[in-house]
Amino acid sequence: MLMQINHIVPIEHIITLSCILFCIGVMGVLLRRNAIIILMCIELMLNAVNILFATFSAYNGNPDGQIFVFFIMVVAAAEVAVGLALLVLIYRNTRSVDVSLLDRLKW
Amino acid sequence: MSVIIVILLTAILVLFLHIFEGRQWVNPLAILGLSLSFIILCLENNSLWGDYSSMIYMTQFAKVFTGTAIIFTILVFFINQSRLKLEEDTNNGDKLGLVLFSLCGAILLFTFTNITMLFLGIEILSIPLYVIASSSKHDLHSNEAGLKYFLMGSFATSIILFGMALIFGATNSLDIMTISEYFSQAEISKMAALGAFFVGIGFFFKVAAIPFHFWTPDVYEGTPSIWATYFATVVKIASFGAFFRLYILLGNVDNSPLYKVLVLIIILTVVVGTLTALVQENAKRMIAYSSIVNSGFLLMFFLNPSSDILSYFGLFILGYGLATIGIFSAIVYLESIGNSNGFEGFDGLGRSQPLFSLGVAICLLSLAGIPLTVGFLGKFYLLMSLSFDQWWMILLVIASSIISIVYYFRIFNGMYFSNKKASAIVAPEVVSPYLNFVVGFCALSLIIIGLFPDFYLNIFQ
Repeated sequence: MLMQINHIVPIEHIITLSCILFCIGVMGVLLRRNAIIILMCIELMLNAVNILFATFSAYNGNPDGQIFVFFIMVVAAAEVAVGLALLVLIYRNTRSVDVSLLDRLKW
Repeated sequence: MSVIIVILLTAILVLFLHIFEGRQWVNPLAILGLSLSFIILCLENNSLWGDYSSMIYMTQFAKVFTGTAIIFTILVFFINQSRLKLEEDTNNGDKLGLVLFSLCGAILLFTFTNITMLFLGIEILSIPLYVIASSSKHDLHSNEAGLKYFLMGSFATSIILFGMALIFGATNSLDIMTISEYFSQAEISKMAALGAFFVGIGFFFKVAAIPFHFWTPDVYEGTPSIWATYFATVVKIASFGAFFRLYILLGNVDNSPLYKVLVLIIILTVVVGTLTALVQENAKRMIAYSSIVNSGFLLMFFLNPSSDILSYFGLFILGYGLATIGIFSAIVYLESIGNSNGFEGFDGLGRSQPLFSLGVAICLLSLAGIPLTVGFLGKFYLLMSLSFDQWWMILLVIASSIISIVYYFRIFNGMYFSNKKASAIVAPEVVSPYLNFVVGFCALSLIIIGLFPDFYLNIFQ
């Protein structure tokens, strides 16, 4: 079990940091057109969640959150593996990773 | 638990059988394994499941939904078998294995009692599907569908995760019962409410409610039709099963901020979905929008949760799934003889394949909600579940059902009232017996359960 230690950094600061990281990730997914950068932004969002889980876990003295972080890491790795494979597939067919090229399907 | 184990073993066996000799045995083996797991599901006592450190627990609701998902997957594999007769597919084993893996994720979504399992279920369900969506490697449409599904899917998962983290911070627990107790208090912290809001938004993405729907028509159109059937039925059931359980546990119905968002999203989904379905020129996209409208109807069940609602919810989703599988098998048949996905592809089908198109017609009637079918009963129970204060919601359902007849009728019209000669448009080719079986099964069960719904409703007790 974790010990309750005196935390120097107030919990609000860490929550704010992770919210900012999450928002940067969301804006990146919505605004950028390069598929690799969108992938990186999704990773950023997942890492913001990781920070949040680890923080709550440490400040509340409940180790469950840190176990959850491991699950998120593993799943994120699997997701990136599939995502990069898809990008390679598309690059072979179009010679580009720009998502705005992929507008054959609409309405 | 043995259900999940049997499905996993089948998946691994399928992958191995595919590498070594015997590609033609891959599909029958998968169907056999799924049937075995269905029998085990029926025989196994719920208490035998145990609770596995309070991670998963089989309820009667979960059991019926698991059974439905397994049967739908078997039907999808039967459709797949019809394709294998016509063309050589060297990757068939991989695809079947991936679908079986994702079915395991769907079962986790029905049975979870811990947030960790919910997250793992969503991911085990989705990650194989990203590959399946782009499984037609040299078709750019399929690639694009895969990439869109991947980006939207993982984006939605991140949002759900952020909500889970906030809920964990507020309640200091990952166990769903503890969280549910916390949410049933009169006063909940802002952080928990925000967390529930984020989880809700993520699930609206997953169940394709407008305005989070834009990936659905693209993915359904780009994905090879057989696997699009799986997306439209099993994946829909899985996400709705999880969302419904979560909403009942966390909804805190009337005064929660989520309630107002839910009402707004239901109105948007039904109105915009119905109107957009009207202007579609492609049968697959029309089905996609019809599935969005049905998502709106299913979300209406969330408004007044009670113990009876569970069985009506199950009936509605069963009718939707069976009818969608029937229509998709018609699309698969038309693709196999080289017709386009447009409505004109259906021209003259009624004359060249009378029995087959009768089954498809019954599926269409059920989706439109004509009496004597499950679709009608589902809508009837939906209206019964709404209270008189929600009269505008009742109007919405009725208006949308009437308009929906117009766009379902376009397929109907092509099949039976087309002026063109049957032989000129549809080659008088024999429909594969597997497709005939699937359509016949769907049409017959739609009518039989539509006439005797008590049998199905009683399983929930």
